[in-house]
Amino acid sequence: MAELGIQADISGVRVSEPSVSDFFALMKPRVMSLVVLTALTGMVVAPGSIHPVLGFIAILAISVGAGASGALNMWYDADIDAQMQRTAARPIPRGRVSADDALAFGAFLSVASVVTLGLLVNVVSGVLLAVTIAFYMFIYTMWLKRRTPQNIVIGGAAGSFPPMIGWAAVTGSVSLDSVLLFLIIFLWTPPHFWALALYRCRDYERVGVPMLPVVAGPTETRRQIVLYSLVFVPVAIAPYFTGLGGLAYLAVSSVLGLVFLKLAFDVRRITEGREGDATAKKLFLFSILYLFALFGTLLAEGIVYRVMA
Amino acid sequence: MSAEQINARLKYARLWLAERPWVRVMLNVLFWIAVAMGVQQGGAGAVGGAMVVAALVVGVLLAAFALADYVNRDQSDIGQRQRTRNIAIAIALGGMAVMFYAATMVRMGGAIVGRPQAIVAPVILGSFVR
Repeated sequence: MAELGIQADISGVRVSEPSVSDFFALMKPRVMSLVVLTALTGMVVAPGSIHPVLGFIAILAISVGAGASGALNMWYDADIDAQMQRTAARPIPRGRVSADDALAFGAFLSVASVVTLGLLVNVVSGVLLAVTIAFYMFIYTMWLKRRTPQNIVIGGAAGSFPPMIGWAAVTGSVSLDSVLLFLIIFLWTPPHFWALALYRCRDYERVGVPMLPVVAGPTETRRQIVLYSLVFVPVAIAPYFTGLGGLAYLAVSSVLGLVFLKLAFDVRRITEGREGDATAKKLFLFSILYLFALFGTLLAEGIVYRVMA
Repeated sequence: MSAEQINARLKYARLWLAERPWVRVMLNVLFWIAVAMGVQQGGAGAVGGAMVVAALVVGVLLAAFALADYVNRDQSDIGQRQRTRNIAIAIALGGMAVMFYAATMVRMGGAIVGRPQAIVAPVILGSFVR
């Protein structure tokens, strides 16, 4: 069983005394920064207000919850991380943190973040955070990731929850606008990860993770990237039409959306050799910038609106 | 007494304590009991005075043990990492306590600390009697 192989495969790695920065690296700080931004945006654009202290606690709990699921993911995937170029330097494969320590760390932070959010902010946001962590760990990491090419399509839901949790922290409920924020990240995830999988295809193939390029081939993956991008870009612009975003958001989401579409079509068009890989990498990096820009603009507009009101 | 002799005695004290962890626990308990009773008595009277003296003596002992720990601390890279981790955990726990306190104040208001004892005490006692 693959799950049982984890301990066996990494048991030979010498574990040195872990430092604070090793544990911090377990929390996937770059993913956490995106979570902080999207959750904060959800909080700022939500109707109503929250005391700054409770707002700070909510953001802290959401980001720690995201970090906890990152640590649990690294614990479970330690065997394949060790064999992949992109992830070989993570703390567990490098022998900086033992798998048991990572599990204990992730489990403790998961419980602590959910309890803190549920008790100090509100129950709805606490439950949503618990669902997010459970979804990422059990549905994506344990169930889907090694079994189906739809892994990141369905699993992408876990990464889409933070703005909804931020929204729920303020309002105590979930509304259509918060679902729209969820949808933006949900539809952004497949083109983003498939672009990465295109130029890291051999890595995934070697460890047996059935990413779309491995199972259906690069041509089908490029077609799917274009299809998802065609759905994603209009959804990314939609907050302007629901009143969630203003003119600045319309401008940023439209202009960058067109660039995103152009890059997606480039990925479809340029398929061979290094240039093909470079185009996919360009789309992958731009997709990160695009998501930061979308939520950054919504956040800035929300802050300006609150200051002016 | 020379510095070497002091160092040697501190090292001996540390080894002696390392084999008897309960001593430190007992001294800590004793210290806080003495402090609590001393404060309750306002440091006055025979009991109050004795408690203050006891707290001082035990406090000095605990400080000496802490000093012994510090002098003989593990200065290797591993020790450094363990210390940094301990400090990070202490800061996180302290931060969590402050966070819960602040959130309680925000959610329930500052009036929670000003509740009249005369009302609270009989209510608590009454619940035991029933």
